[in-house]
Amino acid sequence: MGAITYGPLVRIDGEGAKTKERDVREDGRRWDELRPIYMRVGMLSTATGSGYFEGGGTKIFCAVHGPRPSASNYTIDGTMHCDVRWAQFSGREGAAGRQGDSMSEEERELSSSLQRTLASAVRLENYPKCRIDVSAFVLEDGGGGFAAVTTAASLALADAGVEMTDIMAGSTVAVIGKQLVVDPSAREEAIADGTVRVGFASQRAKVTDLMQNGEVDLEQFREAIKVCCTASAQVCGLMKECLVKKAKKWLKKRGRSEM
Amino acid sequence: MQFLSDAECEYIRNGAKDGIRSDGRAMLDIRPVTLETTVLPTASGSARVRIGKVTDILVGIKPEVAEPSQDFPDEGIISFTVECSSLASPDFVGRGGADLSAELGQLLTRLYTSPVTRELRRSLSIIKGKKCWILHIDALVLDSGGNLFGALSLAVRAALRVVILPRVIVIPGEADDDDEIEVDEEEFKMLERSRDAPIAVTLASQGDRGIYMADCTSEEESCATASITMGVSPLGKSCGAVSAGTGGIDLDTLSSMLKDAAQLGLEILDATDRFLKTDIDNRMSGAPIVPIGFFS
Amino acid sequence: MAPPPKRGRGGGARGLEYISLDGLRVDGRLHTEVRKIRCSLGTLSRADGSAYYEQGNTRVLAAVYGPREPTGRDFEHDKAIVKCEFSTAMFASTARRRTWKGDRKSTAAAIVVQRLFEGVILLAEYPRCQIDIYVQVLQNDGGTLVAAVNAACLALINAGVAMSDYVVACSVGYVDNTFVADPNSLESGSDRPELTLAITPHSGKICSCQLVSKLADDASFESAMQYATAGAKQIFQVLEYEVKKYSLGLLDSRGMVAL
Repeated sequence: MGAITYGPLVRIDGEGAKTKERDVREDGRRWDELRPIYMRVGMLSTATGSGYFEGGGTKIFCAVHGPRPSASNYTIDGTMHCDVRWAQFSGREGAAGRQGDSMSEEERELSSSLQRTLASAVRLENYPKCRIDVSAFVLEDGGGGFAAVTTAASLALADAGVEMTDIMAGSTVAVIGKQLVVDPSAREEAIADGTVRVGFASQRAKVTDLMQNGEVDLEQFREAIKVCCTASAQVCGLMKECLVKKAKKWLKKRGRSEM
Repeated sequence: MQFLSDAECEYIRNGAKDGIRSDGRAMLDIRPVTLETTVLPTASGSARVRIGKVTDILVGIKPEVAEPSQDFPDEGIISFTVECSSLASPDFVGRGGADLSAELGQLLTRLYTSPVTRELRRSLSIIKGKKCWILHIDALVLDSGGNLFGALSLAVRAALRVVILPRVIVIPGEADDDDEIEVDEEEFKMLERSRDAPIAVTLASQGDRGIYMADCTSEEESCATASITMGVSPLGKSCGAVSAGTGGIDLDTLSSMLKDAAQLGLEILDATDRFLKTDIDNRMSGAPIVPIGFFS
Repeated sequence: MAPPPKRGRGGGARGLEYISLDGLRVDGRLHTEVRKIRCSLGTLSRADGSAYYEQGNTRVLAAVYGPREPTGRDFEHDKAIVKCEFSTAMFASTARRRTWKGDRKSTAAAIVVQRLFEGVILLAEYPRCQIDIYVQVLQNDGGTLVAAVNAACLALINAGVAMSDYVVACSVGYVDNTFVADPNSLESGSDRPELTLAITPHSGKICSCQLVSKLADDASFESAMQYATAGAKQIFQVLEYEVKKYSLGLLDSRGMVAL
């Protein structure tokens, strides 16, 4: 099992960091600090691969099944199906009291958004006639839930051994007044004028998914995207560490020498 | 969805590299837009937008008195329903257009829940926490030839600009809760704050760094690697943005795309506002309006 | 039903006078007159054939895709199959109603249109093909089925589908003891008989005949048929004129005729 914890908060060395030194957020973070991150891979035995991501109060489970033969129709490229759900107890508005198994409009939109992000890195052309199922479950949403889903899904895909050209992480930035706030908590998200969410492929340095809600200035928007990318790149670094750790453990178990 | 062969895609992409498009436009040019308001006698406000004689959207607004939501007691409600008619493509038969309809509806909802239109929503309130107007905005995609987001947001905005609501008289009751309302069917007013309404601009990247185009045709759309749709408010702010496509966009390109999208949005807003102003003035003064399109 | 008042002094169920003392209807028509008809061909760009048809305040768009390869599994090896979909826009009537493409009324109308054109299109000309007819009602002021049939006929002509004849529909209502051709939404109601007739104008054959509610006797049915046939012939003149105008325009644009 690969697991990685980061107790101290991860800092982003942005330009604005020094000027806003004194502004402290509710939870004691500075504006450019991420919440403590914990991630782990391979804890579900029935899934091909699985990932767990925890950042502050946001906890996500993600499982990957496949690649397995597609029952329906023949496709030259593999297909990917994503399913993002919020637990009833996740604390997200609208998730509690929901009835039945049907997905909400938002979940559907986010599922297709996740599918797009992941499909940009997964080498689907290597999996003809196959389908890969990615299902993410948000146990607790303390802000930035969807960004965390991207990260967890990416971990799970890597754990499943699916061929990817890159590793993706998501991050959210909220705009409160004139201030950009990295990795906002649920409360900060609620009072924000606007939020920007980015899915980022670190190796190619490409934005694979972009979503903005509320109202933000153009300049703020561009700045927020940059900050998101920096934050995501850092998370990507941790993800790699986590995956390497797991791989080493795996090798050791089989008596192979360290790489 | 139109499927293109690799050669056709290559043709469009290589053209894009040199800044040339198959219909002779520059990268950020948009096709001619036909805008017509108040086309439906059965709706309180309506508009039809055609882009390049291909994309064709019809929007009708029907107001209704309802109770405001608990979260926003002093705001009216704007609700969207988008329907992709089978006329536009045989793919939309039955439930075929449902996904696209949902996507289009989500974007409109995102655009109109942003703080940009808060004043507009507030102007729909009648009695705080008790009664408000709900605007049912129903859009019908009659023909699709690319840039659906742009056309749709333009049609919705134009319909909102010309929508008329009956005057409502609040009759004070004895207790605070007893206020009653009476709808005066004789007198109508327009929505003053509807000019705050945003429009959406889509820019599609064609794979290479720094190469992107506005107002894509459906052929160009189907070979775009990624695209950004951004809501632009009349003040040039971004009020909702989504990406599509699996290609990914690098940071510099994205940054300049957003800048161009905002600028293009402002230009389109300016042009439509000028048109709508004369259009509304003409209607107010009772000048004869010559219908265009198939309603003529 | 209460005994009807003297002819010409209407007092319908809604307290409305349907026919004035001068013998004019609510919209000023004579009882044999159909509403003003306007139509145009080739209104949509992507469809193989399309038409806009307006009858009074009822406005309908029709599109034809095909003849083309069958999309589904069913096809006939020696002739074409016809599929039809009928949908109504949500803003079509004064009251907003959420309608679905597959609701009972729409399906019924779609089946009528489909059956009708199966009889007129030369299906054997297009083996293993499918012809799709889509009708979209933009505004409903009574007589949507009539408008749908006429619009579909124009769209099929625009698509160049081989047909043995035109199909023209017309309906007849019964208010204040009088038959009225082409009733609008005020004049048609569920409590009153209404006959919808579709004929092929050249051969004079009846393609479809639907009667809602009941008529007093054979004689009144006969006269209803006469009204409907006369109405259909009025409509046919407009359609034929429009088709000729459109065709001449096409020829002119190709320099084949000097207008």
